[in-house]
Amino acid sequence: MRSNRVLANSRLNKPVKKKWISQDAAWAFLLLIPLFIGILLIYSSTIFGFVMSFTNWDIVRKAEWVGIENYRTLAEDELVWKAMRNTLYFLIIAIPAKLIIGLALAVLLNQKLKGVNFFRLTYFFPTACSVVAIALVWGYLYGVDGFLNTLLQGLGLSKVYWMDEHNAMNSIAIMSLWGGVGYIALLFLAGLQNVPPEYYEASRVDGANRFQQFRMITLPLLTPTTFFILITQMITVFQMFGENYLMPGPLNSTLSIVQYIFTEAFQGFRMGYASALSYILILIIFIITIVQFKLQKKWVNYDL
Amino acid sequence: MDQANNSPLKWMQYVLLYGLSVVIIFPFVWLLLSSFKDNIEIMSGNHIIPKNWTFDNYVTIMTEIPMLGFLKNSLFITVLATVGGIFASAMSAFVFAKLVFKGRNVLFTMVLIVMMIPGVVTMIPLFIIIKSIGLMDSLWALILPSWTGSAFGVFFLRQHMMSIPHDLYESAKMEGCNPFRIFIAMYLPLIKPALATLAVLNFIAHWNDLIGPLIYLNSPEKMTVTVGISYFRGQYVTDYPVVLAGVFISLIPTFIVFLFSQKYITRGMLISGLK
Repeated sequence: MRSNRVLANSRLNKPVKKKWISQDAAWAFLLLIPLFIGILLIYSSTIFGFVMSFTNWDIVRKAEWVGIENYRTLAEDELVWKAMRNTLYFLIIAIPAKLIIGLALAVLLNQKLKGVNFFRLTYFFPTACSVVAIALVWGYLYGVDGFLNTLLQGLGLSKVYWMDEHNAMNSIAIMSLWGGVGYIALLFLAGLQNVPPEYYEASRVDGANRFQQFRMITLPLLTPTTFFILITQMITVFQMFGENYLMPGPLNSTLSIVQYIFTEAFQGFRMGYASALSYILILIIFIITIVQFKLQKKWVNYDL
Repeated sequence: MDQANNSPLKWMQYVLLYGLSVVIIFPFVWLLLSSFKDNIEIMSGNHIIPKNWTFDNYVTIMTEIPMLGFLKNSLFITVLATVGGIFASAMSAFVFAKLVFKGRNVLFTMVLIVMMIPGVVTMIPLFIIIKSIGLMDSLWALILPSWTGSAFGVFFLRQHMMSIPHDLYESAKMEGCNPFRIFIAMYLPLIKPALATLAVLNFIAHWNDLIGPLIYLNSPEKMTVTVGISYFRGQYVTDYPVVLAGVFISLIPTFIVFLFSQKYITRGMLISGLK
């Protein structure tokens, strides 16, 4: 891909004749109008939102400048901390589970088995479904007298209160594992298929067993994939909304950051406050991404 | 690596893979079967297969709830937003891939930076803009913003246009075609697979959108399927087979798109890293 780009660029730059340039620029200007409006909107919104975060704007009354008041309130807002804790908790239980099960699945799917295509499609299907459909179905499955509890009782176990204060976040994590693991497996599978088969052959000649091969060849060569998954999943989790909004546990036990921003902005109309929180969220995502990129030098292996 | 086909290990692997398929498919099967039960049966236990099959839930949903309207709205938004958005992205991608002008690299970098700005940041300001131009409670509030094209779309399609030999562009130019014609007649057809990938991703994203309709739409006759069904969950708390029938209907287009374009979906999601 990269060499292609370089090639195209060098071809592009050389044979262009002078008289086309101005014409090109005119066409470029014309064809870029929609995109230009789009980027302008996004950049100006980003700045606008930042300015708004220093006001007490509530849509109805005129906004007043309140300085860093919103940010100070945020730091003392129990619900903000609750949402942060919920997010961190979800991060810690859901992402390792997704990574491990996804990797195991990918290894299974990377073999010459009958019906691999069927499995891949099945595992992947929930990724295409709306969170609303998934949350509604799982909400019923999780009911106190719902299917899952009937199943547990049938097995001689006791009922689980899936959506009570203590279990609700775990239940959402299970649902998200169910819906997302196929996608993670697919990403790992793509990584596995990039491992040159000669590596395995050579190591077999050297007498390595399958476990050693996995540890010494597969895992190191999958680190870039793992890194990609880790980054994108963390960013996704920090912006969780649908699951939490649709399956609210009692006492804010599943409140997420974006859900709190949403309710503050569109139900409480505290636009300034919500903007401030969204900026804190971006800051967190930004820092985590930077830290991840810094840390990757320690464990991500880019040379094949 | 390969043992005989019926070694215990192979066997165990099949058990795992089939077992997991059952776990993944089960909620969908449960959903479908439960939508054919009546309310009394649903309340009386959790056997999976209905004893008295009934189609009433589907009748209820089509007659008492504006389900058809929801579907129409969703389709309207999804199709227009997808087609317009992809056209704009492709057009911009073409400009960045083939046209030479001052400031191209700066502008393209600005597009790439947009990809890194999370949607939460622009959510509130965009709401205010939409509100101030009078598009609240209008389907266009969910369509027009897509028509600017997306940063990811531009980036993705540009990669594909770059891989088309530049001589093609040169020779068309020599024959006096203007860039827009070259784009429409040559480049669009040449990147069809990439367009399809992007189209499928966009279709799914718009069809499943939750936060957009929640923010911009109010009246029931403007609602999309996805949000509509979560609304009448409130109305029909005690009659949940009706809700399940709605959920099932909302998944049919997803399923169809998925089946017919799975290779594009897979490819698209792999590169975008979304979800």
